[in-house]
Amino acid sequence: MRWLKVTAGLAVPGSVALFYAAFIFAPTEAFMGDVQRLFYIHVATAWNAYLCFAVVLFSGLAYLFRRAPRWDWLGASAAEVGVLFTTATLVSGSIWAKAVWGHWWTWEPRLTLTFITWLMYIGYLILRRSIANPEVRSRTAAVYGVLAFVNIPLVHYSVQWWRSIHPFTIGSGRDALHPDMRTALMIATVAATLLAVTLLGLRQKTAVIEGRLDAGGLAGDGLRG
Amino acid sequence: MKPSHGPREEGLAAAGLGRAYGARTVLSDLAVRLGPGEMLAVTGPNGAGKTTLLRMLAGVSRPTAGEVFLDGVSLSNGPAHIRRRIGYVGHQPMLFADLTGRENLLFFGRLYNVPSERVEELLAAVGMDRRADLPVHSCSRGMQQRLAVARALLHRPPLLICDEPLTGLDGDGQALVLELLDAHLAGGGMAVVAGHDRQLTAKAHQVLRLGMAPGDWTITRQAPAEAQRPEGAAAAPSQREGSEAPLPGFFRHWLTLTGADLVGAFRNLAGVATVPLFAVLVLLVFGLTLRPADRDLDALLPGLLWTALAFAALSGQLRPFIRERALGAVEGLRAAPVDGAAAYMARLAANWLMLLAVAAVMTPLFFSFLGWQGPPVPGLPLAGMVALGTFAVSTVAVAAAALSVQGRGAEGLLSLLALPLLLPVLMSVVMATEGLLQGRPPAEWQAWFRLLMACGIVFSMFPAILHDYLMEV
Repeated sequence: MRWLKVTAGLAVPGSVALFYAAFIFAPTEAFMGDVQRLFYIHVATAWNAYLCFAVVLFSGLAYLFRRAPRWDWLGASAAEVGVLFTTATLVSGSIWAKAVWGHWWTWEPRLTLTFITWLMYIGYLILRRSIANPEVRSRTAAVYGVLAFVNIPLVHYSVQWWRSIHPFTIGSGRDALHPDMRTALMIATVAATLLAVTLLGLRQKTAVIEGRLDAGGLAGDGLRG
Repeated sequence: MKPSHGPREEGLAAAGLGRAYGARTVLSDLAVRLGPGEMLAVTGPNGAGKTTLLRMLAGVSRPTAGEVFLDGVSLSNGPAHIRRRIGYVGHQPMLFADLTGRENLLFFGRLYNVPSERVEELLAAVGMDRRADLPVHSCSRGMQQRLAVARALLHRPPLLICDEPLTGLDGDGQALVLELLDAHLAGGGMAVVAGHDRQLTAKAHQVLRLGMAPGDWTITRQAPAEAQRPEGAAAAPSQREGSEAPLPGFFRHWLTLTGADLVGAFRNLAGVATVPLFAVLVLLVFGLTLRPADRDLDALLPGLLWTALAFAALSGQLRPFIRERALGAVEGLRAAPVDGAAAYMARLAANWLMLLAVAAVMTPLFFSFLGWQGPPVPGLPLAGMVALGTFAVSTVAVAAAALSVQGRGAEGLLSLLALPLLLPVLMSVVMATEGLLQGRPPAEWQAWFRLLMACGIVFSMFPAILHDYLMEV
């Protein structure tokens, strides 16, 4: 897994760049002030949560059609990383909401649906833990992973479909982001993606070892990085 | 699906056959070839993979390597109707515990389009004609095994697959099964039988011995022992061709399965009673505690009504899944030429009908007991909303139950999986119902209504397509 070494090597300076872009490089927003800087972390983690859940969907479908355990391990790893990034999205959003809206939480569509997504993928992880037979576990988790993804388009389009107080991420025309803010957002998103891919790769590697141990022994091949 | 054709020859053929559970390989690179009138005995120590092999040969489990062909047609990629050419006696009786023996055979007979006379003929053949009206759960293991053999032979399958068929049978029962097996082979049928009983293995033309290592297996040919046929027994009809009656279509299968689900549910009245219980409880608690002065019923009633109906849908949900797993009936359905989507849609229809009945009674009671004071209730549009809402709630409840029944602590898992999936449905149906009851213009709540419809479609179609994977054993 040479690519993992590359992404891991880039993820460390990437994380430094993320914090530099968000907290130093990006200009201070005129209305909200410094708390708006959380936006770069919030959007970057939300994007990566979507990405991870898309990996759960595609690895679930791949497992159902190919029945290769590696797809199941990939799905399980992506769900864990996705839950981690969704937690970061909810926490950063909540801190921002307290400063701007005056509440830690409000039951508006985007927030509610993101919370539901978080619950769904925690359900996915618990479902996996509750099934002992590895094959039944893989099949059931794959089906649930496909079903749970239905919520992601709802989360994404909720700000357009319902009158929501959640701000649009990137406006256009008069609402367009300042070019420096756009650059900062891009750096944050790329850096967070490198981090997510690295975490996914590392978790996948341990999942492969767990799977082989489950099967009664380590074959050795495919375990070398 | 396009049939996948294998070697153009009669009989059963498999090559390079393998099966792994996760990363653990149980069988590897196995080859089997069986011609008309032949029997293969499968032997080996416990855990060697005998049942795994038989399930693959019966088409209820997919091989992870290689393919099984019956008369040149693939069992895993071929059409579902190829499964009508196989009769399978598994480890479990593969019957519905709440139905009687006769009802079970009539049910499976309808799936295979077998006339009811054949059911009576087989009940007599296995010595169960006088005890056929006992519910299967009250039958002894031996009686269940006789019924299992009758179910497998119901549609005159050219290929009979039996996993330890003499298990639980008394001497008479064993003799009956051995005679039926002889008759099947004499008629040109094929048989694959797993077991250590010498009476069985002696009848085989080939003996497959499985070892504990995945690729450790040997096949030997032998001269089968003379068939024992009682004096005066009629010559067996040809088993080579099997039943040629046309199979019922998707809709007839769906109707048959829905009927069986409803009958099974009402046989267990204690279980059905829990469905409306939660709704009644919500009505009583809120009816007693809310006072007309301190409530805003216009906003409260839709939320209370739909919460009650959603929990009613969940409360009785696991029972049919557990019931069909109790004696392996789900394996029987998997072995039958039934589209998995028909089985899933039948479960959904049965659940929806029961929930709709609860909603039909509870909705007027909610309005009456909670003293609705808002604008006049639009009867027909509200009925439509209740029908659509209960359908969407049922789709989630059934999908979550189908998933959670696979794990330990299914009751807890059901809530854990269903509640997040239910929230978009509940949000949309409550908001749409509120808009309708308050007489707001549709433009104000139609986005919620559209979301409700989308949830209903997605949560019914996705699992219907994927449910086949959950039915695998």
